[in-house]
Amino acid sequence: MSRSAAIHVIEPGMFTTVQDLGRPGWTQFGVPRGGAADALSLRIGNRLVGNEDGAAGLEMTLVGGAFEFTRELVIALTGGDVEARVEGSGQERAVPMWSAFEIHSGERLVTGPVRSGARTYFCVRGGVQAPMLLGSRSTHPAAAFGGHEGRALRRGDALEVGEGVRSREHHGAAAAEAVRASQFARDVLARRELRAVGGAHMRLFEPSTVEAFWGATFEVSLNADRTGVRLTERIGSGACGGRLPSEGMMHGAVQVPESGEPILLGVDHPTTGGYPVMACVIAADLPILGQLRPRDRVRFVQVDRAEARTLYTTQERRLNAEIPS
Amino acid sequence: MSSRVESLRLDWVSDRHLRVLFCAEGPDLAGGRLGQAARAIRDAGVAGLSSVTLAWNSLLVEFDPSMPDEESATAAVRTVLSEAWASWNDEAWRAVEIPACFEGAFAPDVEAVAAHHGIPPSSLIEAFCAAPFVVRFVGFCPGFAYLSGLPSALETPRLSTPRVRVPAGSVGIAGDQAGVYPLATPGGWRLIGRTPRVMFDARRNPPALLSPGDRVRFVPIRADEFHAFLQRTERHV
Repeated sequence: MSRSAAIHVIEPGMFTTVQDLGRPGWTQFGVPRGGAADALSLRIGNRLVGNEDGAAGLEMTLVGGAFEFTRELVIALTGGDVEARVEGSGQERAVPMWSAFEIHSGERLVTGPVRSGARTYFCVRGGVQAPMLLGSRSTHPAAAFGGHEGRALRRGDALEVGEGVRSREHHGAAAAEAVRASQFARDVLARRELRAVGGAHMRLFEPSTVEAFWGATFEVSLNADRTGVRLTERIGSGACGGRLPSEGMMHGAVQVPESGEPILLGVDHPTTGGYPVMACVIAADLPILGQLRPRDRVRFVQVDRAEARTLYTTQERRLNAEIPS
Repeated sequence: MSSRVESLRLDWVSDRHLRVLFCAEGPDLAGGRLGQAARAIRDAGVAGLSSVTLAWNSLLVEFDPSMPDEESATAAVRTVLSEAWASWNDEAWRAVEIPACFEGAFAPDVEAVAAHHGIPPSSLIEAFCAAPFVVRFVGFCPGFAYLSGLPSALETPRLSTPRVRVPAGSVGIAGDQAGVYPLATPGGWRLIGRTPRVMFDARRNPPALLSPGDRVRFVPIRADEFHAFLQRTERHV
């Protein structure tokens, strides 16, 4: 690890946290997996700079930040689309999404608002360094631990970067790889039809409510963060008075409380809860949840579990074929 | 024993989650059996297992989404649970004492709860601290332990309007459950005291002070003892 910090935060953006692929296996202590809200974009970014999939990067929400660097680094921006440029030494230059680029000591990377989707990932060769807590460098902002001091970045923060393990061979020309990565990401992440399986309590709802749910188009409310996303569109009342004995909850669960307005659980979801669960978004579509932004309109499309697993393995195969690690 | 295992229901509730529902109270779930069952599943090396979440009367077993097939995963979990039930041991539980101050600003609802039951606050606190609580599960947020064993005479409904901010360490009652807020969060439980102990710290292993099955007793301390405890311990590390 370098002696002096490699990244200085000039502007943090709206809500920027250190995230990796999270900490599975601690839910018995109330700790959700967490990690990048759109894990697929983080993984692609890490592959582009030559990291393991699970290296930590920065998750920038809705508005990107500005960073100054004290040494040469290899960076990639993935996820929600931002305009990004490098300033500082000589000519200012625009940098593309979905492609690794070099940055030199003394230069600044300035990113703008996220124009599509909600979260942009900043990945750097060697990974952003932060203490490993419960097996992860991820920030859990609600519980104030992990990442950089358990919180979103602030102006003046300084971050270390690990040593890059290897210089990555491009699989084909870098430009062609960028095209493949962005095309693949668009195919996965731009859809707003979320594929889901029937949830644990679907049969407890009135049939008319179930029908209304699968037929409805919902709008993402302003109440949208890493914990969950509230959807606005009533679909009838929750089953069982909206309360059941607490059960384990999962990323992608669609809870329907008494109000009838669904809540879609995010990566930092409560590990247990008593609202009935109408549906659960399939593993292949979980990255989309991290890209939902207020006012997006979403629908749910029912698939069965076997189909869901096939969709997941097919998606993973395509990822490995188009952007090999 | 086998009849007890038959009171389990195993259902796939997503493309990667198997829910184990313990039907009826048959097995003494509050006695820590849920915790033992969860540990048995985690320790058994079931292929593709990712996490086991405990809740009121169920477990949620998460698998990697690329897991091969439901039948073998279901069978593996069922086998582990049968063996865990057969080797059930009621002796192994840890006793944990939690110091808490039940006075003044640390106990904003103690008067109202006592009045609700028509008893003086001192009797409420005495009964609460005499109760042998058991950690049923840890969930909702990091380190929040749901405690069974609240005397039925102390059962109290939640606040109709939750507080915007409950201080970390607050000891609360909701219905027939008790709990301690590990973090400052919004909350609707009736607050009758506060502990100076740190309930969750990601640097510790285990990170939560309480684990499923722990036997818990609250020990009343004065406000000056509360502050002295804070001064010499965890929060000032």
